[in-house]
Amino acid sequence: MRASRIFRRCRRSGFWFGLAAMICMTPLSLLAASTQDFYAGKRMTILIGFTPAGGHDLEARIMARHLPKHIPGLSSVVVQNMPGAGGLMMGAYMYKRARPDGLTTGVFGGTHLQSAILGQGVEYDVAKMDVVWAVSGVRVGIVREFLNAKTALDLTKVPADTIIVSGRTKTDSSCLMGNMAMELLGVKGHKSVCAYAGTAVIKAAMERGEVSFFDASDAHLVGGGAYVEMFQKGQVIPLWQAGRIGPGGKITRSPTVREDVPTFYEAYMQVHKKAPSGPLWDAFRILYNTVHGNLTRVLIMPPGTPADRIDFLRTAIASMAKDPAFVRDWEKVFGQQLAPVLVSAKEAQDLKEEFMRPAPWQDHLRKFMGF
Amino acid sequence: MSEKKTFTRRTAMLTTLAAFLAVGVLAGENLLRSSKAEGGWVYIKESPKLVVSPTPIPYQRKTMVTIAGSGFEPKQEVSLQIELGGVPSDISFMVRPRPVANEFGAFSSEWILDGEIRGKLLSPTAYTLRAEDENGSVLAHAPFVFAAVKKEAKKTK
Repeated sequence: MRASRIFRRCRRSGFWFGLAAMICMTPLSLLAASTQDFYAGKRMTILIGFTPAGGHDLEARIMARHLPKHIPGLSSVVVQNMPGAGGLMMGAYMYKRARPDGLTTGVFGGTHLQSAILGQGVEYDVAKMDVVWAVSGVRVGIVREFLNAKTALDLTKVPADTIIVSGRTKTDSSCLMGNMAMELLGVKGHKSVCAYAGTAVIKAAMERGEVSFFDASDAHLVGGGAYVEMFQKGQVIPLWQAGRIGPGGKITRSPTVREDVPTFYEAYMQVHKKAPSGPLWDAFRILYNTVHGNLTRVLIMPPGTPADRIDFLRTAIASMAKDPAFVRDWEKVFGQQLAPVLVSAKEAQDLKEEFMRPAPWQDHLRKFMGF
Repeated sequence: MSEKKTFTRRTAMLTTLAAFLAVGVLAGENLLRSSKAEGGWVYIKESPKLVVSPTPIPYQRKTMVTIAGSGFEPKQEVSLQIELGGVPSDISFMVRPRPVANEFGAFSSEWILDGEIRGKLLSPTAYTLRAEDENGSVLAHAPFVFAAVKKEAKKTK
């Protein structure tokens, strides 16, 4: 008798628990359904701050091909290149003009983040924009073979005026990291040309011998990367790589770069016979390994995009990242495995917020740039 | 080398002239069909049109393509779309000037093809260039046809 009463009570409490759960879950499921309905028959746009055929552009095109499969009813994804001011024009457009309705997103890179930290000519606030996708990468310093430099030590011995650092703007990843690297290595009197429209244009300038140094991404040297052919022909030589930060903050060589390419830390040791230190090194290390290393390409939403649409897109994009067809396409283009370089949207969001928080290394960076 | 320069200059001049003619013809067509009423010109709206020149377009880097349009709403921002790498792509920010219709509803922009060919996002085949409004409605379209450039022809240039 007592047992049956307990059973009845349990059954009743189970009923109430179930009912409460149903009541709680219904709005969530309705919300998800309404967000999904919102995308039905609509078209999304991915903005790129550079000319076609670079890393940002190629990644956006792979996404554009596969994303509609993971957002039921989405009619298509359009890629829109908006080159100008080293990607900053697109950043400003995203911040000021793009509709925050969840249908427009843009590919940001380390350059967008470091430019935001420097604050010069930047008309967007990265802190107010949410991340829905991110991949990490490894920077690699490459030089033309005619410099006759096979190591960083060699580079310090060639006539400095033959070392011409290339990039899109003074504050872009290649020019800023390249110039900081030269300063750290003690190369004095080198030149910089920081006014090219995109990777493809810089590569053409490298081919012509107009410039001789480019701070590339590992993706440029593998798969369908811009410098693969020149790398294979021995026309560009990788002198150092950023490497990856392992446990305890130790920087190790990345498996995505040829294993005989030293980390910049090792290259510095080779040149100066001591470990790097000081404010410039602190700023360089954080930018080179952490900002560029973790947030190489980031898909970001305009400020004010509704939270439910951001969550919906994060889920859809995470589902796309597990789609074998997408992974195959991505790995073919970027010549490396996707899984190890994927950074979760949540982690990327946290990292982005951490980088934007005022810190002494940012002051060192601005001082180096004379801002 | 100088022959090549002359050729490039001549091609650029001819393309610009063709563009002016195209815009002139398209805009003129609208004006000719206009009628005078109550002391002012009445603008009779034509259906939007797109003209691409040259056609076919030589499939080589640094080729300049002129895209002219007419019959659009005055001051309308036109979105130009084409498939690049098998993906619908908006090229409105890659052409110069941006395709915004003038007071007669016409525009003329130039697109210098470089990375699109170098990166093989375009092939020597036929595409369709579409002009869309901000809501994605197709207003006009035009064939965008490439012709492969023979190596011998390249040498003579």
